[in-house]
Amino acid sequence: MRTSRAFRLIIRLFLLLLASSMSLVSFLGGYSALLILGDEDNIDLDIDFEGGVLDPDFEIQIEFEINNLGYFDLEDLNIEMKLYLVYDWVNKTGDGTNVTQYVKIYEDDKSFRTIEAGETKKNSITIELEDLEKVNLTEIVLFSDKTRDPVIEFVAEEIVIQAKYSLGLLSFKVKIEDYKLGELE
Amino acid sequence: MSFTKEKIKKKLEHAAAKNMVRGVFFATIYLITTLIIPYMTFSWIKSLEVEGVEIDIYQKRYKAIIYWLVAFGLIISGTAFFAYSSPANSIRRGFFSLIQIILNCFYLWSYKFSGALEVEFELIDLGYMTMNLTQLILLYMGIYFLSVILKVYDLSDFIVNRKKIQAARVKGGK
Repeated sequence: MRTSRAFRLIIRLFLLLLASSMSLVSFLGGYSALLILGDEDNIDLDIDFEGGVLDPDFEIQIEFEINNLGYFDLEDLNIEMKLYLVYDWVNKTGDGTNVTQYVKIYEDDKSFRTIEAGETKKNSITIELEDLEKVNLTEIVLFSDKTRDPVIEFVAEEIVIQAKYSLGLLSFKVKIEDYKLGELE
Repeated sequence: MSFTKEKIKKKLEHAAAKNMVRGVFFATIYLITTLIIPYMTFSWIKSLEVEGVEIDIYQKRYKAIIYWLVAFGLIISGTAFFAYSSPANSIRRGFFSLIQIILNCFYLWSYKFSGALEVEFELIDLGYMTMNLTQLILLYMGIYFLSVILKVYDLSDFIVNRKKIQAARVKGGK
């Protein structure tokens, strides 16, 4: 066999190995996604409120647990959130005219540690009163329509979850819109 | 003399039939890997449920993805037949292999312009999910780029050493 042919054969084998391993990574990535997303128990989300919006110890705690059943680490996990208070302003533009108000109270993004393959990890985001944007909460409570059910709603206008998978070759973004987190009577 | 000729003719006929079978075999392999499996995957994704929430791939985008998958899948399978049914080390094989690799590059690139590189699903009553495959496809493109270089080299080798290869083929009956 000529040297050039032997060299080409080595390159061919290398390319075959590379393409096969890529196909394997893609397949295992897809299969892992199926394993994780297929069972509702693998992703657990829990939202807790403490105190009223005017209390100094007001706190929103968002806890989530991910069971990474797949074959690869879940890397660069980042969660971006925009929270709004939704209420009806009584007589906003005239007698008997209640106008629904959307007030942004929180906007931030948080990064989390890598969740290794086969590992279950619990992460939490705690939002305290000082983390909230400067809004006149007294005015909101004062002018909100008390007959509205619920009087004040906590809505996540946008929750963006981003992460990388399959050795960073696949990335995904989940965008949840207008997700109701809780309510204040 | 005529006995030798007869023997060579028989060998060549046998080799031609073998090449045809190989062509059909590889065309089927390509048909499965470039058309049937991706088609089934996208059809399956279309009706997937995530965390109990139904997801829906955009109908328009889905149609575009399937259109390009079918178009390139068929062409690649066709050229695979011609490439693999050609005699080993022939210019014909080198030419069709090169065409096939270039078509494979277009096939991968079609994932981009059909929208399959960034697949967007609708999570019914919840939001959207986007899956980005750019890194993966770019890596595949890199592999195909190296393959193109290799095939160009093969083709030039087949052209330059044509006489030697033909002589060896007649001798070996391939």
